[in-house]
Amino acid sequence: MEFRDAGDRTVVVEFGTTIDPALVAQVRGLDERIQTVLAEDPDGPLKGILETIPSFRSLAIVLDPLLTTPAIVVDAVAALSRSDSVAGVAASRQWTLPVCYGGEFGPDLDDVATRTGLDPQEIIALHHELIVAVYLLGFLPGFAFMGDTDTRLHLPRRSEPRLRVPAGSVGLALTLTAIYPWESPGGWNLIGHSPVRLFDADRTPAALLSPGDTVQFRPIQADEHAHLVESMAADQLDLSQFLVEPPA
Amino acid sequence: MTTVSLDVVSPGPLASIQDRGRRGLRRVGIPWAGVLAPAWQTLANTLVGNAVDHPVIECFEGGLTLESSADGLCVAVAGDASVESVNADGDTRIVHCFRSYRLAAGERVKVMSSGRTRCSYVAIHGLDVRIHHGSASTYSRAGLGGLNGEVLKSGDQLIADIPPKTLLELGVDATEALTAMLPVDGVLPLHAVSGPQQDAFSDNELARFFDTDWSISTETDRMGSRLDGATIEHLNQERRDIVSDAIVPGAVQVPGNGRPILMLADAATIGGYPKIATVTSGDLPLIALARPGTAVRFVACSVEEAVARTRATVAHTDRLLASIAPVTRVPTTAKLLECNLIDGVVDAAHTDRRTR
Repeated sequence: MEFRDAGDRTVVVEFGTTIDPALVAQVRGLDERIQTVLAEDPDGPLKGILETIPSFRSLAIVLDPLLTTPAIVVDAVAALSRSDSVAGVAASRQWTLPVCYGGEFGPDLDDVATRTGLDPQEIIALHHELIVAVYLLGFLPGFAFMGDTDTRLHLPRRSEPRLRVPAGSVGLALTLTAIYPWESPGGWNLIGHSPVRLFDADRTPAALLSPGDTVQFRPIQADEHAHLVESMAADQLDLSQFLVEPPA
Repeated sequence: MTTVSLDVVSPGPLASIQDRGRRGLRRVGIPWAGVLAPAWQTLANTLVGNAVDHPVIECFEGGLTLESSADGLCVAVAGDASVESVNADGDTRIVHCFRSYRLAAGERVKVMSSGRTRCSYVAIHGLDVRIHHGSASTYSRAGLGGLNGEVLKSGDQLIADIPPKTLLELGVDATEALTAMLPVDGVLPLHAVSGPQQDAFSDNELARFFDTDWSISTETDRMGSRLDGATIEHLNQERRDIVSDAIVPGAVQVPGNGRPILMLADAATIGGYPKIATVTSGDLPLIALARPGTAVRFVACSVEEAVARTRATVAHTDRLLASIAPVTRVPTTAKLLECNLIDGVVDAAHTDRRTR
């Protein structure tokens, strides 16, 4: 664990430099510990912490420089990580999200096939058979970085990023997969499209997925996709249908 | 309190409702948004009797025109803007920055130009905007805040109320309020702490970052400002990218092309380029308000100095706030010269137009 300077109102706690589920777990552990201590003792040593931003391998801690200083926060967090109290891990949910693969929905499927030496059906199978974890939300509101995908699907971003990736596009990059919640520029390799709206400003919480949730994709055909897109647009889709109830 | 409306006749470019921003949601990818210059929001709101963090209109350059539907609505502009108002009879008056005004029914306030800065702030007493996920700030990419999640459009109707309060003005000269916001000797100093990824650059390149006179490029908006002036080389090919981690406003990213980008209020919450330095939060409004072409220089400072600077900035705003007092009926000689002379010129021109 290493502290990095990030100006007058942020401290970055870095656990490593790679994408690794073990690092993600360490980041979550510290994050939850800070949230717990802050909730129990808001005027204690962590006073002045405004929010934390977990990512793959580091936790950014945003503070109010009128109430505390980065040095005070560094000392308090170092002391916290030395104590051996264990933070409770929030219950995670499991989702099954429908994806229509290939064709107009996944314009890069054939290119991914060429680059990985697999045929398109194998890529679809490898993508939907494995359960992936939500590592973090960020970049765009509700954008969930999920992984790790099967090693045979690991490949870099496109060398020519698209100016417009449609909302709902399912992409692959590095060891990860994601669904674009918004139309945006992007360099991920697009293999399919999901009709499920991952972010809705009128929902609370607005983001469907949370870090720690797990996701499995379910291949659907164009007609079911069209039906789901229509229901989603009419706000008639009950999103809890995509939740897998944990066994009692 | 009487609820009244204020119509957006013309929004100008990218005028939007902003408050202090949406906090605590960067963890789900939602940027703070919020005013680029909190001190000016504080002053404008105080002048109209609002809480300091009340939503205001942030507008870029000139072009914003608002029309009051009722007598008594109270507004104030913070900034260096040229503002005038035209009443229903066509009479024009100058609206000075850092002073509140009451509008008559049918009176239009126009921000003609934003002066020496890119943006200015219009506070309206009792402006009533929906709080959306904890803030009224507009973040149109995700449809959050403002009116229906969008920047202001012609025909939008804002709801406000009529205050019982007296009119207020800044006690010190407005120049003092602006001094901290405007370039000194042509080069804007931005105090910055190295890191969090300064180790992606050699000592020479880090020194070059701090020694270069940068220029704010035309690619600048509420998300960030690109800087021209030099190319900063990464240590090697591998150090051009990092595994994405958190970005906060003030971070200076250096992408593979070596051209730094200073991230602002609407920036994405995580990013994959090394961040060479972080501008202190107290200095951040400077770049947000500066026009493309403005020269800036990063001044290296320690974390402790950065905290001290931010606290000093807030103390400066507090001093300005403490000077706010009711508008005096008998102005000082200096104010007479400033106000009456300008009003006189405008009145003369106006009379001249009417007699033609």
